[in-house]
Amino acid sequence: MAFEILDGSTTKPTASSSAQQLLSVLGASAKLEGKFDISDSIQIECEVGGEMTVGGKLVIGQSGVVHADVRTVDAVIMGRYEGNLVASGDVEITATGQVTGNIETDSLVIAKGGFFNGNVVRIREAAGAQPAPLYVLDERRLAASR
Amino acid sequence: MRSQSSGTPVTLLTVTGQTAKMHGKFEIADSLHVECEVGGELIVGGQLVIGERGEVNATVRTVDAIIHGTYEGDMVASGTVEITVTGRVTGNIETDSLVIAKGGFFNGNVVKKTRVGGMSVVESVSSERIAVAL
Repeated sequence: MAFEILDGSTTKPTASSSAQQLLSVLGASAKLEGKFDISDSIQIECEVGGEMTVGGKLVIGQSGVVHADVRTVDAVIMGRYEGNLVASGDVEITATGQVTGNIETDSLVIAKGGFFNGNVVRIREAAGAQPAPLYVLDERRLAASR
Repeated sequence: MRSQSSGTPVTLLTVTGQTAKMHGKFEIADSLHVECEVGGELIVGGQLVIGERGEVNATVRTVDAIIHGTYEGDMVASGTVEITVTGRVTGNIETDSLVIAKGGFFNGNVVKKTRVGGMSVVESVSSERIAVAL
C-alpha cells in the first residue's frame, strides 16, 4: 500500500472520535461532478452533482446546491437539493432548505419555511414495522418542551 | 450568508472520516486539500495540496501544487510544483518551476511551459551575471 506510516499513530478506525479531514475545498466557487464514496460525513457549500454514498451525515449548507442521487444515513438540508435520497437515519429540511425529488426514509422533519416537492417513501414499509412519525419541527419542539 | 470578499477564504466543501473515494470532474476556483482517493479531472484556480494520505489519479490543471502524497497523471501548473520528501509522482508535469525535495520520487517528463521565452530569459540573466562578475 502507498500509505505513509504516520509516526506512532497507526490509523485504526475508532468510533469517529478523531474525525479526520479528508478533503477540503476553499475559495469563492467550486463545482464538483462525479461519484463520491464517503465513509463518514460531508458538508457542502458549493455545487455538487452525480452520485453520492455517505456512511454518516450529509450536510448541505445554505449556499450548497446538490443535484445527485444520494444514499446516506442522516441528512440535513439547509440549501438546495434535487434528486433521489435514500437515508437509513434521519432527514431534516431546515427553514432555508429547498428539496425537489424523492426521499426514502423512516424519519423526515421539515421545518416551517422549508420547501419540499416530491414523494416520501418509508424504507420499512414492506417489513410492516411500527410507522415512524412525521414531524413538523415546530410541533416536535413543542412536544419536547412540554 | 455568502461572503463574496476574496480576502477570507470560505470553506466550500469538507469531507471528514476515515476513508473517502471520489471520481469525476472538479472545478475549484481557489484551493483544494486532498487526504483521500481522488480520480478524474481537476481544474484548480489556486493551490492543490495532496496530503501524505492523499492518492490522486487525475488530469490536473492548476496554478500551484504541493505533493506530499501520491500523484499519478498529467499535470499542467502555471505556477510552481513542489514534490516533498514523502511525495510520489508518476506522470508528466508541465510547469516553469519544479522543486523535488530529497527523498521525493518522480517518474516522468517535465516540460517547460514557456519553452523559447523562458530559455532566452534564463540565458540573458546568466550572461548579465557573468558580465557583472568580470
